Amino acid sequence: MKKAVIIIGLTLCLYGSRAQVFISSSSKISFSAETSMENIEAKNVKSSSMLNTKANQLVFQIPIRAFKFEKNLMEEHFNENYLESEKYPKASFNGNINEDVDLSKDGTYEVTATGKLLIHGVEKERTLSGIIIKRGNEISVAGEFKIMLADHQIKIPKVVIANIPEEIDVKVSVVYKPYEKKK
Amino acid sequence: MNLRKLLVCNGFAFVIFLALPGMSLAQDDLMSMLEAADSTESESENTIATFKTTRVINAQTTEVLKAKSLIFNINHRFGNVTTGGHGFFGFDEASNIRFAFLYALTDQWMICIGRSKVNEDIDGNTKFKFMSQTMDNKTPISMAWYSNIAFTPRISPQNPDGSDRWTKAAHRFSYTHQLIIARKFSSSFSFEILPTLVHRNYVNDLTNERNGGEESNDLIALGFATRLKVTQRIAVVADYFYTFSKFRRFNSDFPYNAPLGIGIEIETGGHVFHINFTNSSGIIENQFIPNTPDAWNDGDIKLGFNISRVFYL
Repeated sequence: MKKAVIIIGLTLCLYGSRAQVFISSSSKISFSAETSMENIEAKNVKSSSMLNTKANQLVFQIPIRAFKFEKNLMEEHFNENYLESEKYPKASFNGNINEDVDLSKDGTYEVTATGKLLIHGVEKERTLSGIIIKRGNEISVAGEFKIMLADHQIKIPKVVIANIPEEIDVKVSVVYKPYEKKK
Repeated sequence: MNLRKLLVCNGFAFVIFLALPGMSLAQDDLMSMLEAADSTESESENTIATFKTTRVINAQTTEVLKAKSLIFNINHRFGNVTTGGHGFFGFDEASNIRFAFLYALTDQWMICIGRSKVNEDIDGNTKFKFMSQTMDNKTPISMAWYSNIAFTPRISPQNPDGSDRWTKAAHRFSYTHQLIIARKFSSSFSFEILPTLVHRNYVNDLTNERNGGEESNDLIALGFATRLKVTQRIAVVADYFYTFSKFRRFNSDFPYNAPLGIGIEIETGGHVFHINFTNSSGIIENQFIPNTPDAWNDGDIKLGFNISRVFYL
């Protein structure tokens, strides 16, 4: 009988500290690239992300159409000619944090995450670095990395090669809230 | 003893049962969880680039510009290809040239002013896109309204007695009203239809002797236009207008053929080029819907090009 009580008690304890999932539905992702011709900049505030602080797993969903450019024509070319957003509407990242950090505790953690980065329908194994700040029920993640267009088979025609860089800088900034399943 | 065993067993089962929801949050499910959470609040985006420019060859498109951008547009039609070697297959001639400036007041509404060689027409037009196709197909089509007014400053045609036919300034005005209904069927195929009304304030008093059809101030036409993307930057475009006019059917004194344009569209950054062949020398509706005497069958086609360049102000 005692055993049973202990087991039940233990289960309840486990429940209390079970894998915590955090969500962000308005993650900010921006990219920029400079060329001799012009600066290319786009911002996306409609990406979503989830962070599992128990498994130290991190996933992102990035709707390509939500990248907004200053110049309409750039946006059209980005969607129609380069990222082909009708065929590949979303980019994603599914990675695990390499460092052994305990995200249930408040603090600032410098981490790297290794996983699959899917852009333009082409998957690439990447290790990206960033900072995670945990404060109570709020977690924020910030990161910067580079993407080589060739890695994801994004082709640039020779005519405009001077206008489009081979590599772009990406910035990610996410603020998570605890996830509650919607019914 | 038996009871204790049972309790312990039940306890283990209970543990597993309680742990289940926790386990469903494991590793690979995180992505599908995010997808599920995401799909509940995703909003629909408008379809882009049904057509690449505000007009195909002769036909307008549902495309408008982003607010405060300016387009400079040059439309050129050379002479008939049948001119042969002496006119270098039409290159020596310019049957029509039109320069136009287009400006977008809002993301849906733009205005334009242009000047053509044919009839020396000066035209002003406006286009309003009031419906946009969405990616999720909740709105399956795009629609726009187009209206123009053209003034013809050229010297008036003469009556047989030598007096001017156009006695009032009002005689020199004509108008077009058009509904444009377009759909992008796939990333490479778009199609549109254009019910059109052209009104001319002055028309000559003429009758088709063969069928009794009379020339009228109002002309109704139905246009069709399409774009088929061949590569990432090259597309084949075509447009056609059918004019409902009994007067224009089989009229040997007033030859008329439905304007048909076929072209190639090439996109290079801020420019869009159209290289096309058409039997009409008219560029605006007020010109090519009432008057297109040349026929494809006779080879009376003209090489032409449209160039448009976008400026952001």
